[in-house]
Amino acid sequence: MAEICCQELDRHLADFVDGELSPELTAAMKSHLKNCNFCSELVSSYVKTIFILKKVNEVEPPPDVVVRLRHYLNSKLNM
Amino acid sequence: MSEPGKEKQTSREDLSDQELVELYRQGDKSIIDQLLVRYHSRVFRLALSILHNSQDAEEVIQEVFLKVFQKLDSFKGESSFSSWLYRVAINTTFMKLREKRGAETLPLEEMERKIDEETGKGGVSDWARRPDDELLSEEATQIITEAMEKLPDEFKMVVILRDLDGLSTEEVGKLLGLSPAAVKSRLHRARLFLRRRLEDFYKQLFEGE
Repeated sequence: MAEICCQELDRHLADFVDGELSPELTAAMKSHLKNCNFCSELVSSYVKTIFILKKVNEVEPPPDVVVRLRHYLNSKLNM
Repeated sequence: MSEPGKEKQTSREDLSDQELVELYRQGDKSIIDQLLVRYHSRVFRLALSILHNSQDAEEVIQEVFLKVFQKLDSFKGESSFSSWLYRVAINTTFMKLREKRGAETLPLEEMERKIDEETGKGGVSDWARRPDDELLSEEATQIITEAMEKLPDEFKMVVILRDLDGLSTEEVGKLLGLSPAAVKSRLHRARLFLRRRLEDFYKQLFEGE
């Protein structure tokens, strides 16, 4: 299995966390992460950032928004 | 005995977007409700994540769905209904943003340089290993919201469509007119930028513990 350096890990990081890397590169990334604390923390915080971003944006519009939207469209579209 | 209206509603839930559009063209305007059920939350979230204001987001979804339903008869179906809707939603949201925005974001090249500089310096800390309830605070929400506001639109849109709406790299590329490589590059840089902002915040928060 080919070894990768920290720079290469950074280059493939997005594909790695999105599950879009080849099995060979995925294995090389995992192998690197076992031996590199810096990259290991980088990956953890990268993944956690995406998680926090999703959590913060998990909002449903208040129910009255769709009610007003229906009224608006009814009036504008002469329904 | 089943309610007639309910039976009709249940069967509509199973129809594809394209089938609903076809019914609309045949004169059945009541399918609008089914498309609203499917998409109004997603369009609202997209608008809210860029505009950060519920009232503005509501105005955007009204404008978006009005445009879409006014043009539905002439919709050629060259792309899927959802892609078309997203394109209208993106354009409408950014028009609204340009009306409202006071502070300018950094130019694209400067932003890329800044991200690369910040990513290259300093170490990383172990904040990500802390329990979620320690990380998901109001302050953290504020930090990541402000960081998103600072991202140039070209980066912000990619993050929203990929990470928040779950569209594929290819779908985002088609919507924004970017190659898959450009989508990936912008997504990665934007995520690093947001990560750095959170890291600075958490380092300070947990310092000395």
